[in-house]
Amino acid sequence: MAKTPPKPSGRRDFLKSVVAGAATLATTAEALPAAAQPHAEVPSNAMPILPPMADADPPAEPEVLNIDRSGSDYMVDVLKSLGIEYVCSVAGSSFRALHESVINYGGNKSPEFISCCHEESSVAIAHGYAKIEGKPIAIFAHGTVGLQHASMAIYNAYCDRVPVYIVIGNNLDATKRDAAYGEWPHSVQDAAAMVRDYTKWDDLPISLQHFGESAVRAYKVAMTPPMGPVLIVADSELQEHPIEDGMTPHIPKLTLASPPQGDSGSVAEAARMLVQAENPLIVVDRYARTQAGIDLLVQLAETLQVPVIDQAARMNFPTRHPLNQSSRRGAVVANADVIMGLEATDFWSAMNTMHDQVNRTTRSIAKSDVKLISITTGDLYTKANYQDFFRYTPVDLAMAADPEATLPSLIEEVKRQIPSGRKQILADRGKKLAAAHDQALDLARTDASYAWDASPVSTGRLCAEIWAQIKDEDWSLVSLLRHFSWWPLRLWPFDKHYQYIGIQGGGGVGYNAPASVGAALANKKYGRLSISIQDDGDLLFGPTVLWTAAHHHIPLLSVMHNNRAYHEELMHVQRMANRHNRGIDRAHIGTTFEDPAVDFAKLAQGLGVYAEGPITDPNEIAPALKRAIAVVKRGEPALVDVVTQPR
Amino acid sequence: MQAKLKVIGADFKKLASTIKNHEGAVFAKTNPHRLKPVLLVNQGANVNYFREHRTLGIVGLAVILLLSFAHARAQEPKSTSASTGNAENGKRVFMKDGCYQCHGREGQGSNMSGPRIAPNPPPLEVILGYVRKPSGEMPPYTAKVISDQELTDIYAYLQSRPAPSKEKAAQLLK
Repeated sequence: MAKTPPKPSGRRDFLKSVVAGAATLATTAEALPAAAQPHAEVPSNAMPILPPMADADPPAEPEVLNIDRSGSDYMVDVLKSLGIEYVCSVAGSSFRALHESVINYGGNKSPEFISCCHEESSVAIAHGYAKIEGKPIAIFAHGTVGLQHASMAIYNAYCDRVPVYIVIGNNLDATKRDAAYGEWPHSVQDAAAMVRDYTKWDDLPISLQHFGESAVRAYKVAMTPPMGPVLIVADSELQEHPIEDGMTPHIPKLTLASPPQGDSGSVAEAARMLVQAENPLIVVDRYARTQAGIDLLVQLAETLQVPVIDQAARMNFPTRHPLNQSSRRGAVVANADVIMGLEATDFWSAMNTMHDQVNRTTRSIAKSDVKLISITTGDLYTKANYQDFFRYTPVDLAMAADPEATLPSLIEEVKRQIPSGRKQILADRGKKLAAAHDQALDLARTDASYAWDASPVSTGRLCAEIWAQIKDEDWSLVSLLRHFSWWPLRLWPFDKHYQYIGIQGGGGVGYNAPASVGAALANKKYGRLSISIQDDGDLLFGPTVLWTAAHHHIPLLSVMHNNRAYHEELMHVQRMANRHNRGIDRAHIGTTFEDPAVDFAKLAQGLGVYAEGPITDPNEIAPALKRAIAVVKRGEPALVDVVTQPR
Repeated sequence: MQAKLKVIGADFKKLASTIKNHEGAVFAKTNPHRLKPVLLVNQGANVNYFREHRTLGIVGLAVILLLSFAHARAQEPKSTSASTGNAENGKRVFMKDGCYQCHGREGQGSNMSGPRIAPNPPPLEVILGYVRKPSGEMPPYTAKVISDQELTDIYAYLQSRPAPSKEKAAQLLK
């Protein structure tokens, strides 16, 4: 067995100086070996065997070149204990030890290192993954430049209340920073400060035991509703310092907190209001965390025969359920006497409209005496700086609770309170709602049939063509839909939680492509067909995530919604030109991708992804999709570029 | 004719049932996440095209359009006839001046941006009046930036758009 090398001086002194008297790795300082003999004087005409000594203090002992285990090995053990399956990262020197420990000590398995080309992609991949799996994966990044790149994606995850587990490297000891590696601009006093407004919790552990406890706590915080991103700083010295023999810290047990439920009194009152209402309504947004959430909502809605409006931040309620009235929001809101919001992120906008002309005005579309019930974790956790909490809504009954966790008791209470004489009234209400639902579905199908043969391709046509190819598969739509006129939610039958993963939260563009890759990564082990309807503008923010998908063999079908513009912004600039009565034919400046048009098929092929296009004839879509789906079913990503109408 | 009607859902439904369904049904396009745009006629004053209404449906909407058409005719000078429109120029202007951005290149509309206005657009006189002073979310197009003749050409273009392919859509969406 190799002799234990002498301990290097300097590092332990640093740790002790930072945590005065609180070192958790108490050791007895060993006597340092005697200083090495000074170099013998060499003849002036001889070549020196060794280079001249540096002008700093000479080392007091032989230099340590190998260590058996470093702190980063322990850190990987902690990540494994948390069930972290993947680490998404752009390689960086500030966490070089962690990186090496993942791929070697940890065997590159649980976690597996996912190679990314931009830290924004790293975080957004984790964001999409968590929405399928309901738990986080990790990100490694530089504490300065890496975190800066990642910040928009962290903001999206925060606004979307999704758990993302971020570990950043830093070089806190100024005497150990190597300028040759850029470690000075890569170092920061308070690494998490930049994102503290949009992360749930962060810490800078000083010792490995501290790291273990904070890492486990961070996971628990991330996973307690309302969920959100968390951040741990892994100082480079802590990563690279050797673990002393027999001194491996223990890893604390993880116990997740059960989500908070509404109190029994409030639940009973809510049930009373809903049962006695003539026209109750349920509005959901970020409600269903799991399939159980969907099933519970169906049970509640059917018990009450109450319409449900899904604002679609998650997959909340089956789209073909007769009580789904999402297409008739105006009518049902205006008719409602009691409205219950379940994790309704923007409850205000469910009942009000904003008029965007020179003077912005608002108007209520609900009855003036409507009673409102709110069950949301938003009441448990709100920060001030970033305004993602939307407009204040005065409600009549507010439960600061997780609605999915509250629904079982609410359902029981509703069942208990419904008088037998009311059941026929509820049944009649349900029949009317079912008829209205069917009519809305027919209307949506009719809408989709307009501009059927148009070029550029109509979004309704494209939606129908995709459906025809995937309807017999176990599919999962992993993309945003707002710019696609929500067609799939209007036309396809969604009833499983993984079939739709919702929105990006903070409205940050560039989320869709990497989040789709992340969701597809999660879907991979279940054999699901992941489909992304990919906006062109979004992909241009970070196309290199396609390389990540190719490199890691992540099966994902990306169908471009290529309207060759930042179309939302184009309409905004158009509105301003109209308002100012000038240049109404110039709004395309700075908002469109023409001259040249981007060839997304070539772009994708260059990044290793099978791709076809651009397709402008709608009759070419079906055969292209068939070929692309065959590739995806072989376990690889594929992209079909379709040039489309704007919306 | 002065449009002095107050919207009462039941009355309009009764009245609307005698009116042929107008393809201005586009305004009643529903969508999951925005208001259902319908019409509300104020007493004796302007016609508001995109105010909320509880139960007014497609057919009732057509009633409002026709009433507002009559109202607009009383207010505006005599308009050019649709038959003098140049569809080719209308397409050019429709794209150049940004109409397609909200209404689609075929006038097919979107629930996220603007209603369907083709292939059977509202009466030309309605369009001429509304685009100058929209009461909904549409930005205004004054005569300074687009002429009546250009709007007439656009009208001709919209009229030239093909009918929907309901059977083909149904085949794919089953």
